[in-house]
Amino acid sequence: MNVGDVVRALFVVLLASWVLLPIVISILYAFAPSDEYYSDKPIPTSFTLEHMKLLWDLGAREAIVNSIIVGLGTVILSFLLGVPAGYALARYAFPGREAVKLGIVATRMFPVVVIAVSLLKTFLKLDLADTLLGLTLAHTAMALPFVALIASSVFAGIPRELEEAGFVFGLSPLGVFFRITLPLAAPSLTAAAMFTFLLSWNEVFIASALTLTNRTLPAFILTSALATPIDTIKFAAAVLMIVPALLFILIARRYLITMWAFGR
Amino acid sequence: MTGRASTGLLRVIREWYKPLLLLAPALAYLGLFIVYPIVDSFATAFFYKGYFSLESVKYLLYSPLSKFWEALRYTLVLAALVVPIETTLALIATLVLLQPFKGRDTAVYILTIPIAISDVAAGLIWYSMLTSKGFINKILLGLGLIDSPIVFFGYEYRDRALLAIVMAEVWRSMALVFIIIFAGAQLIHKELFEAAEVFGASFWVKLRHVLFPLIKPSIQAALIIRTLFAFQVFAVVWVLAGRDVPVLAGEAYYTLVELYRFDVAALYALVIAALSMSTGVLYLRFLRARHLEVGRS
Amino acid sequence: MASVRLEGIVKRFGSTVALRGVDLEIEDGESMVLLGPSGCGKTTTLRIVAGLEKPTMGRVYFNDRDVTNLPPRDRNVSMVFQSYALWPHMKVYDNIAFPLKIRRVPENEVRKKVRWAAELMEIEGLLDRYPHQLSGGQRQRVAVARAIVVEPEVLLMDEPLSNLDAILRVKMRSEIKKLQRRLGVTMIYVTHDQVEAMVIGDRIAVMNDGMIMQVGSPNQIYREPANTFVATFIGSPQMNMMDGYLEGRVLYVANSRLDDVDLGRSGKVIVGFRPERVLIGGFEGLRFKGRIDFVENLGSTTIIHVEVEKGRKIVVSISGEASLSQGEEVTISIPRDAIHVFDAKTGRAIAHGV
Repeated sequence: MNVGDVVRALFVVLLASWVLLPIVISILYAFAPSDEYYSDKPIPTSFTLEHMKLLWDLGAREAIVNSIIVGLGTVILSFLLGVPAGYALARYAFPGREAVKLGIVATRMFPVVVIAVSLLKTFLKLDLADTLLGLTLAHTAMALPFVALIASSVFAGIPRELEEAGFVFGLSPLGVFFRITLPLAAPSLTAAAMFTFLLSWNEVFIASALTLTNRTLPAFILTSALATPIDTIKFAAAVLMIVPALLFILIARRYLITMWAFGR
Repeated sequence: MTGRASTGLLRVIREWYKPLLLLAPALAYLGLFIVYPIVDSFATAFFYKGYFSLESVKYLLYSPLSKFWEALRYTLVLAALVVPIETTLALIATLVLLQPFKGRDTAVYILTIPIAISDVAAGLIWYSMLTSKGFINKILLGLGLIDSPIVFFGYEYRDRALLAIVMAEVWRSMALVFIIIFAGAQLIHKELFEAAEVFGASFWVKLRHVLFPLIKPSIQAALIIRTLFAFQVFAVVWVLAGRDVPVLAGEAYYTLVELYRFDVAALYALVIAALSMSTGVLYLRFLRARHLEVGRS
Repeated sequence: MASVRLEGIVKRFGSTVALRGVDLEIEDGESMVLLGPSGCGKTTTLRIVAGLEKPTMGRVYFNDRDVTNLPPRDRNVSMVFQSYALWPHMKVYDNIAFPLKIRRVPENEVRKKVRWAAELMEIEGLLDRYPHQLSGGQRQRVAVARAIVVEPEVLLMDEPLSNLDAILRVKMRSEIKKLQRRLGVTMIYVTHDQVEAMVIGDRIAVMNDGMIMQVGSPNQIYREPANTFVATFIGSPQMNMMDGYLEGRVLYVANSRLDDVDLGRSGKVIVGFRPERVLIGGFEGLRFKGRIDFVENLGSTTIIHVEVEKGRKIVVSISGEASLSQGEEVTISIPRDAIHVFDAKTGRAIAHGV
């Protein structure tokens, strides 16, 4: 081991703690009894579910249920629309394909604020404001470009000849898609679905703007949890928010690098 | 003539109806939920009951409640601080993690964690570090480096709050920059380095003339994406400072949800969109110019 | 089994023309090789027979049945792809069985047929593995087994050996030929390798630039090339091609002449002869004096480059070793029956032997 190795090791440890320490601290504080938090001890040593329960009773339970419904709805809707589009982009060299792709990338880049303001206005007229359906529709608009682009790159990665072999050996176009293309795309698409869920789960601006009583978790936290003067409740809220994120990273880390271009 | 033209069109439809059919639902949806809102925002911002109106602009510029200029300034300052810092950090991290060593994959994996964490959670997580009873204050107090806690939050401590926001934003979004640059760097063939080594290139030469030119496209992509998103910064700021540190998206949220001023909110949205678009155009210009330069040399 | 007939096939991709009028008949049970350089349209032709591409113009018949507009699944063809195209999410057994399952063949029948095909290709031991666990040669065998298990009317092969190493390629090409004979299946085989074409084809269709240049048995193609393209494409080293001139009954080539040539015409021609038919020394036929420029000893053959005029060389191939060295003056001769004469303008053959 030479000096360079030591410097590198130090640097790596520093980077890793920079990322991990705040997460660990917020988790520890979320489960620390109030008197310990308000003491001078930097690392709490006892455990309590008190703050979590308080948050739960404050409305976190309903918010989580709402978040899950909206998240799943967004995944389903954006996949129903986005997977066929991605397939078309990957498999057909039709005129204007590059323009369509660029257009989709552009919509991905467009500020969600624009969507939120206009949709709230429209949804108020259509009685969709403050509904989970309305929020699902809005989140689908946000997730759809991501789904279409990632699906296109997943399908493009499946050799054309594998599908052609399916045609030659007797499958119909639908048969080829469901029995050959889809099984091959499934692992990557599953990772993309988890990421899509997370996009919806994490989204706060549209959710807060479009809902009042039917809050998703981040919207609930932004309004209710932030309004409490109790710090530890806020930490508990952070922990609730990051659970799916950590799960996703744990399961799908293999696909993270390939998904960079499309995620946030 | 018309007969031929129409058969030509028919042939295009016959040949391409499949991809068109597959794309149509998604494109229609994007049109309805993204393109239409953009158009609608113009109408909302500049028309009142069917007539052209500049009420929104008046509010934005002259209302005592408006924090427009402050919000614009803070948004730009935040972007100008966060994006360069996190890009530099991500570059250094890429350099350190490029060569394989024991535990490298774990390190890469840890660095990517924040990409999945929401801005709300990131704000709260840093809140736990930085409140008066937060981790950092307790440590500093415990070490006797300070006598009373450093207060980061509250109107009179806005500059410190800004610091906290920058930290949380860098912490949260560096992961994305790192992934983009690291992915780009990994694609570089090892042979390129080895070739440079054969010719006796030093570490710095390798860095400047082999690695850096090759990951430049990744860096540029990261810069574009991050700058665009930096202009939309909202939740981290809202969680850590509320309207003490106003930003454009925050003001849009406030005018929309608290004041029900749709026209003003739409105008804020358009300002953000304009900022994003001009950044995109600027970067594209810059990129193209660079490519021409490369082509010439 | 079936015969295949292509009539006036034209294929355009956008503004590029891949095939410009291909007519070809393949008899029932015949092995037809489509041979040509890359981009000549041979793979496109194969894909049109498979139904993976639709021709822009022209028709495809199987046994007089017009299949031009039928999708692949209604044609009873099968195919070995260049990349093998084994489905990575299925084990070898399922890869071979899948075409049968699609056709709703009963389960025990499927098992029997898969076993038959696997035994034929000597891959019984691999049925439980996934494609990524196989070597290139084993994958190739699995791909062939999958192609024959459905007992297709037409078996299509798209450069199936191009991804194998040289030794395996030589072994597999004779195996494929034997297999085709044994099954008696009509086969269309695409390759750019002339030796492979010679071994596998009952007949060979030489293609260039979207057209068929010549169709014939390997022998015909070699001995009676229909034009300069086929003449130079087939044979290694390449046929020597020299400008010649016919006047009366005399053929002039470079600084040499040949009397008593009766082709009933005069004017510019192209004269071709194969390196392996050129003799060192000799008194018959067309004779040149020259200086040896370069000798390549390949073991079983020796290739000698002879300069007969400044900048004009003739390649000579003799079997075994030659005790000749660079700079030596030699006389070479080409027997009359080894001389091909082509039209200088069209490149078409006028005579094989003069």
